[in-house]
Amino acid sequence: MRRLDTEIEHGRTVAGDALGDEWAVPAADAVRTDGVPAAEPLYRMDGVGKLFKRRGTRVAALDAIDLTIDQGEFVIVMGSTGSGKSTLLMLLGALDRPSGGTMSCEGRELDRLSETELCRLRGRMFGFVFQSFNLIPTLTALENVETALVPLGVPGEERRERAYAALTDVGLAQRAGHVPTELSGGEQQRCAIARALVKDPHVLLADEPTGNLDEKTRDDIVGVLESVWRERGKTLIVVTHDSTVAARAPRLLRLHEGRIVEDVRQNGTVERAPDGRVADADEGVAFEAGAPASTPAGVTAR
Amino acid sequence: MFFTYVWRELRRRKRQALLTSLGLALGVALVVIVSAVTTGVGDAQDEVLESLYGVGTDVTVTKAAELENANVRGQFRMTTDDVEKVGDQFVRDSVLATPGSGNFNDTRVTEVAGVEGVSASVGGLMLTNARVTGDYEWLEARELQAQEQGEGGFGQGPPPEGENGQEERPIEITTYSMAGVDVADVDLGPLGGAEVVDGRLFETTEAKDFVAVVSQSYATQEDLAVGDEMSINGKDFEIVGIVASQSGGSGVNVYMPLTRAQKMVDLEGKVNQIYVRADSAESIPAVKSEIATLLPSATVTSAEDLAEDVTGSLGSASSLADRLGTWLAAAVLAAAFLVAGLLTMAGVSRRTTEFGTLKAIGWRSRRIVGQVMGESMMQGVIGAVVGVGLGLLGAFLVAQFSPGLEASVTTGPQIEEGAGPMGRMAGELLNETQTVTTELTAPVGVELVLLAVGLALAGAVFAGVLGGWRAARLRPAEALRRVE
Repeated sequence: MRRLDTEIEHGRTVAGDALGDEWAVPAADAVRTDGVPAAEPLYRMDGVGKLFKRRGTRVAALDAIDLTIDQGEFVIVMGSTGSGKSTLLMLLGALDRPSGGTMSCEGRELDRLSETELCRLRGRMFGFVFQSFNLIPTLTALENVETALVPLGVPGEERRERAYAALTDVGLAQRAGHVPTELSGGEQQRCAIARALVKDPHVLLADEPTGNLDEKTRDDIVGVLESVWRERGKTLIVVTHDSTVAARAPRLLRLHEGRIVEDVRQNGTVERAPDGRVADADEGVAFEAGAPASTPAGVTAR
Repeated sequence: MFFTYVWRELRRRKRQALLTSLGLALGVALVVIVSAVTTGVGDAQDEVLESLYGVGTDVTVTKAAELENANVRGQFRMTTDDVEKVGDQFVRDSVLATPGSGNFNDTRVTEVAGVEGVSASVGGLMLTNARVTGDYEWLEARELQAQEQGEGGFGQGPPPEGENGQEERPIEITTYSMAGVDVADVDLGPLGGAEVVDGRLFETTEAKDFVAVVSQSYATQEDLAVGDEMSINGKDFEIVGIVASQSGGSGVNVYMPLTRAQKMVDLEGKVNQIYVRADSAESIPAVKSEIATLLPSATVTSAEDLAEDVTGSLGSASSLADRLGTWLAAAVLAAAFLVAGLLTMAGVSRRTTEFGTLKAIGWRSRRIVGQVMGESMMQGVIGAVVGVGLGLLGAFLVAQFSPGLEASVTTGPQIEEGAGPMGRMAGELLNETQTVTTELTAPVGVELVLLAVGLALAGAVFAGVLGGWRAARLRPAEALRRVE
């Protein structure tokens, strides 16, 4: 993979140019250098609820969620069908607004932002990976990755270069000219990950990213996501049913009927190198299963 | 990226794109065909009106006859003294000024010429000749029989019967129309619009000469040629020219100098038609109005008014093009717009995940609407190209295979109930019903092509707006939730 600091520098410049200084990311926030969370968490949710109307009755998909997530965390969200995990992901990705409570991301109150501002935020800050990949069927892998740079106003030539680099990063460069139907499920998901990463987002949100994949491909994809978290310092939030995937994250949130019923830090201390990377076992920092998390993320499980 | 995406999406949804484009194309093609035919009918009408009315004539002025003049009553009497013997046949001409038509003093022509906006005016005298021909011996026998019975001649008593009790036809009545032409300005008036086939038109020095110009159809029918003499009401006229009206019309058969025509019917100094040429097309309404004020008892008619009185297949075609054609084109176009709009909306609904995903990665609604609009416009362009092609083909086929159109304008007198047999006969036979045949064309001009392209694009914009509206309303979370 290319050097992370270069990419972040590049991404910040583009984001700042395209979206204005308001959205420019402070360098200090982009990468933690000391393993200690910044004073302001990435996300803060206070009493957040989400109601849906179904057949005339209101159903609470989320109920009074209090949650903070720090930058650079790898969080797994689990729960049975209908527990509200996808709804939580939608809120975290600024795809939806809460029905009640307050919610902020990098200090900005998401529930107060206009649709246009949310759209800008999505274009710059979040990368999405979906269970069904959601690639545009008529576009090649390269063009699909390019679509993420279109809202940022990146010129065509640069767009292609960055898209190709993103595909290279996920090991799909040789399939750049193929349309999704010509790609395997794993390749399609790699392409979707490349699309999510090409704009160098702060947060990578994945909704059942391995749900449609076989075991081997699942491991590949989880490996790719994990490396993004480790090497690029991205915040990674993954919704999954798969306990194998869940076991690889330092933090696990479990939802039941719209409430967080469990919030555990399962893999021990997470430390980051000065360049933001998380050290792996080979480098001397182990994920110790069952050990308490050292990150003081303010989590309230309800 | 934009065009790549648009083009690939259209290729992916070939059937829908084709259906939308063909719908628009059909609507556009119908508009092209109907508009072309309407223009063609209009051109045919103009051609016919010019032929019936005279090229360069903008307004005609006529007058209805006084009631007693219009009610032509009379007994049809004829003796051997009244007829001309030609071989064993008799011939008798009865020339009348068009019954029902009132006359103007020719000083009125000068007054009309003085109206503001009038560039020229001439008088004309429309006449009709009823020529009675029959067996001379039969006429002599009938005359003798009448004298024995103390009657005056043919025209009294029961009609003769044949062997089977059927009515015999010992006499034949044919009519033809004549026009007295002001030789000082032959381009305006009855001869305006006539094309010289042989010989020439009148010269200004021939005002009192016994010269005639005949229509080509009449010359063919009567086997007449330039240089021949023809007898009219006992006078021999030299044929100096043969003309064909532009559309081969059979309006007037014989033209003669106005003075000769006036003398023939003892109407010296009178005319029954005034032909007016206006300064410009724009001044025609004002000229009409001024003349109507000047001559309150006159009927002032423009070509536009006459067009409303055109009957026959041309009238039917005009009515069909105006009403059914226009409505049909409008209905098909509206249906095409609707189908295009519905298909585009349905297409957007099917692409909920796609647009939801694009919104999730930061595409603004405006950009997605632009994408939908782009796809719709592309279909509109295809629809325009195919529609104009189909329209051109349709217009060509219509022009190629349509039968000739026939137009009739009746400007004759109203004959009262109870008029005598001669009066009725004269009225029916001498009515000025002029019939002209013409070919239907269906011209497609640049303006029509531009209109067609504009309509197809308008349909595409309409469909794009509907689809875009639907796409813009998609909330990303809902769009993705529907699928996830």
